[in-house]
Amino acid sequence: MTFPARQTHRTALATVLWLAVYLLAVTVPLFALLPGSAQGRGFGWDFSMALGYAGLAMLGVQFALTARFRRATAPFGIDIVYYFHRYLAVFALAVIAGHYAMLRAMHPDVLGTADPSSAPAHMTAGRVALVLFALVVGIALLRKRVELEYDRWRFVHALLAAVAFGLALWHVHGAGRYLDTAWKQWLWVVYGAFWVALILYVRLVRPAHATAHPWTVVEVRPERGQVSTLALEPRSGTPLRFAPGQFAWLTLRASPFAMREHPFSIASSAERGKRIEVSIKALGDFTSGIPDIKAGEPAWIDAPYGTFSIDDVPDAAGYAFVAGGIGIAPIMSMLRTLADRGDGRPLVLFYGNRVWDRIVFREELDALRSRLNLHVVHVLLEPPPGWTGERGFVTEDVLMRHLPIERHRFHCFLCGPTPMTRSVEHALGILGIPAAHVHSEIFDWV
Amino acid sequence: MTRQSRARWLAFATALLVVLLAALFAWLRNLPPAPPAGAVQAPKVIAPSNEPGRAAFVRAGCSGCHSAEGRGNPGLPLDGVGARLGHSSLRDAAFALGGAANRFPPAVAQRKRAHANDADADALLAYLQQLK
Repeated sequence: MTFPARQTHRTALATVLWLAVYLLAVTVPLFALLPGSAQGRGFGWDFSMALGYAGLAMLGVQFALTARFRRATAPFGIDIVYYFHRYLAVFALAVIAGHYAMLRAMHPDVLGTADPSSAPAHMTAGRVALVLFALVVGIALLRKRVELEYDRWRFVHALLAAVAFGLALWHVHGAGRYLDTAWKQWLWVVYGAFWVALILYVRLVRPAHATAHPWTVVEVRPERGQVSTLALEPRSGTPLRFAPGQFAWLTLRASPFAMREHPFSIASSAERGKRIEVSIKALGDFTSGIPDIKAGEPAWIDAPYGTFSIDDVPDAAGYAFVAGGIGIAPIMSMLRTLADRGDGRPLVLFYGNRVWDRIVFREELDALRSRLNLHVVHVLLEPPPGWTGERGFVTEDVLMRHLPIERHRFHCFLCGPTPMTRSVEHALGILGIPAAHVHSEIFDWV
Repeated sequence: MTRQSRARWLAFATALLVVLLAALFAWLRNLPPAPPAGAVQAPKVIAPSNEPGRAAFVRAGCSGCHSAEGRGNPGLPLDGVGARLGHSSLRDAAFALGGAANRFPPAVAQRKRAHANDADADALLAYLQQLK
């Protein structure tokens, strides 16, 4: 994703700031061990130990990255933060493996026996933690390939990661090479306790808050193309304030403590926050059960999240939207909001689908044309006989035919399958749309 | 650059910085101390190694916390211990017995005592005794 100029500056600043916060969180507890410590024990030895401490701190921060703190995720978009979490996990594992490998190569005697019946318990804890971390990362990377169910994976992921982190803390305190004074020991006790408290906050306090603020499903509406729209209202009556295009974590038919929440774009107008709608296509285990949901059932919502919104660029001369399939959901929220606001700016929607009969919101988009200055371009992969509209994919030619001359002053919002998003980003660049005017939403970041 | 590759590069750069900071930590710890004026380094004398004793040392896990003859954890070197302690004191210190029992944290003392009756305990003590 790229950002408009003013925002690019703001985002770059936020990136540097949060990167500094990250490095401080990871390395301050390590450098705090320097004062008053004995003379070093050789560069290789101390480097290996430092990798161990820093690797553990990196894994601690992993819990914070997915704790969904709005202030930290807002400048980047939560999808970027989740990707960052995923890649950083691989690098953190490499750092910890480096700690072990250096010791194995340079000081094999120190590691002693791997037999848990005779090895010191804290050394066994360290070994098991390393194996568990490798498992956590490996399973996460292979989850989609081996088609592991999302809810089950998420539970196992959180459990294994927490156990591995606890074992790693035990290892550090048991080995305690640098924890040679009481205050250094306390520093690392407090540091470890902080991350444990964070895990408890995310897994207990936040679900408790959600439980106390339930929503109700007030309508389940079938749409075209195996899509169901759920309308939800807060029992408290307090409307949700969100920007059009943002998304919500939704829990249905499970306690918020069960970690069975799924992210969905809010499709309804941001001007009507008392009743929100999410439109969900039956694609997986969870989404296939949506049509069976009944009005009156409770729901829990953690929202809003995301940076994919026209409200981030309110001064655009016009907006172009490119949707593929159910990628229309956040764009629908933007269109509905613009209609409710009586916005008269020129809008173009390129909407790619396979067949005419499965175009979600087809009739409503027709109706919206009377309330907005909206030009809808349907692009069909398998058009019906006699179709005179666009066919195939949303290509550079299609975009050029329908975007106005002053398109370089437009902001473009792309949501759909990743190959579509990438090719349209490229085509818009060729057509002279500044990269800073192109915004895309990653479709499958969990 | 896509959002995904941006995240990948940011994560890589972050991890690289962490590794560099870890290296800086190690470098700072190993800055040579200013030698006192006129100090002369004594040549290090290493006794000829005793392989069965050395093996007992490693098997008992001593090298997790101690080094001897340049191998093992450099944090607590035992070179010279044979010259500092007599046989009985060395035995007490090695296995947390007698008066030495209270000098160690309970978990360490327990680990040491667990090896007091090992078949190769005497070989271990003989090895330590020759570290002069």
